[in-house]
Amino acid sequence: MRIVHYLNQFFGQEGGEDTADIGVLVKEGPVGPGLLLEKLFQGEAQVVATVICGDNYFSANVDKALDEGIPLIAAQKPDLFFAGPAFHAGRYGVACGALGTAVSERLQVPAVTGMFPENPGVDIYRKGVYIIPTGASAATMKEALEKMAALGRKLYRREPLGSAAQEGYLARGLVKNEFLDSPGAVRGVEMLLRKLRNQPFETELPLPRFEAIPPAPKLTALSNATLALVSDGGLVPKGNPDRFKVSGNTVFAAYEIEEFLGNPFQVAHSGYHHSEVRKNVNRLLPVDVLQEMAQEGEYGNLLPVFYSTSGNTTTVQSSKAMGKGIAEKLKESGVDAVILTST
Amino acid sequence: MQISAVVDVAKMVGVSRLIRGYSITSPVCDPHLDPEKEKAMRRKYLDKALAMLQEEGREGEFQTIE
Repeated sequence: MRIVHYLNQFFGQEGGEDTADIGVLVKEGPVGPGLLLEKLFQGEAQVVATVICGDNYFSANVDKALDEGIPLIAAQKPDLFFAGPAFHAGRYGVACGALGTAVSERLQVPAVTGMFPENPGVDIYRKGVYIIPTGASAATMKEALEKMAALGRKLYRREPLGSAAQEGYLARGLVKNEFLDSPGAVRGVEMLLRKLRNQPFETELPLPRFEAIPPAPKLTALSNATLALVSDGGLVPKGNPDRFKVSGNTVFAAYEIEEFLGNPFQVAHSGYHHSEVRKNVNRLLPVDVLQEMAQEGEYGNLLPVFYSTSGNTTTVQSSKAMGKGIAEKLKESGVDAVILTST
Repeated sequence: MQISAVVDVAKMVGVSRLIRGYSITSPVCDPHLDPEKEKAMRRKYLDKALAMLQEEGREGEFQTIE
């Protein structure tokens, strides 16, 4: 059995965040975690090639990276494709999910990847590729690869699969008809009774994770409007007084713009290379241009404070809480619209 | 509205006014340009941002700066 394995620049041993911009490349045989992946097949399969790409290169232009990567994968004539696992790394999860889906659809080759359930790649790609849930960090690599290999083997052998829960992958949201002994009405009432009695129950249909939020109505009086800048790029005054965590952060803060620009600052975010932003903060917080535009009368005025947070492996729950918190403050300040810049 | 290079995530959660950022490490301009050109590029992003604030939001779509 021929396996092709995808890894990002870090697991592919090309470097760290400093090489996140490298393009797609191929190495012969297994690399890094691929060695364990191959071992798990006990001679039944070989990792014939490892495709590697920088996380920035891939996630900032998925279509282009797919157009480059898919032919490289196809040329290896794989029987099975594995990507990652990506754990909680968002850009990596997007790459693994996109590649797994494309390999599955375009090459008709079974594809398996692994991600922490909160990885943004999960909700985007769960329908297109089998995703094994993993821990948040690479400390859980061995267990993740074992589960990925087991599912991969079943897919290759075209063994019939049970439900996602039975097989251990994240539900894809696909609905299969099946016959049950008890009609829906009875099951529904039973579920309600359990809920009323505070007994555990399991929904048959999990609701989608992201609530639909209607877009705010368009601005009609831009010349009078108060705009505010918000960024999740981790900008903090030197010393990080509000203690943003560089990963899994849960807090936001308001910083007075003039004071922020007039004093040393740092970036509390371990998910991107900050040298460009540190050399010129306008690259993330475009204050220079916005101030000019206000002076020229393009809009009313810029709020003198900006709201800052750090958005690296932030949970959905924290993101929602921070978003609501920032919005409340902005409304109190009479802000009409927000420009949010993200790394 | 949001400016972000990784549009796939923003689209998925339902962002309704979205511009594809220049890059992950520099969302509103190309940092390799001469300072004046770099600033002019920032202006293009912000012009587009203000324009989008005056239009109806469209979930699942994004615009780019040429």
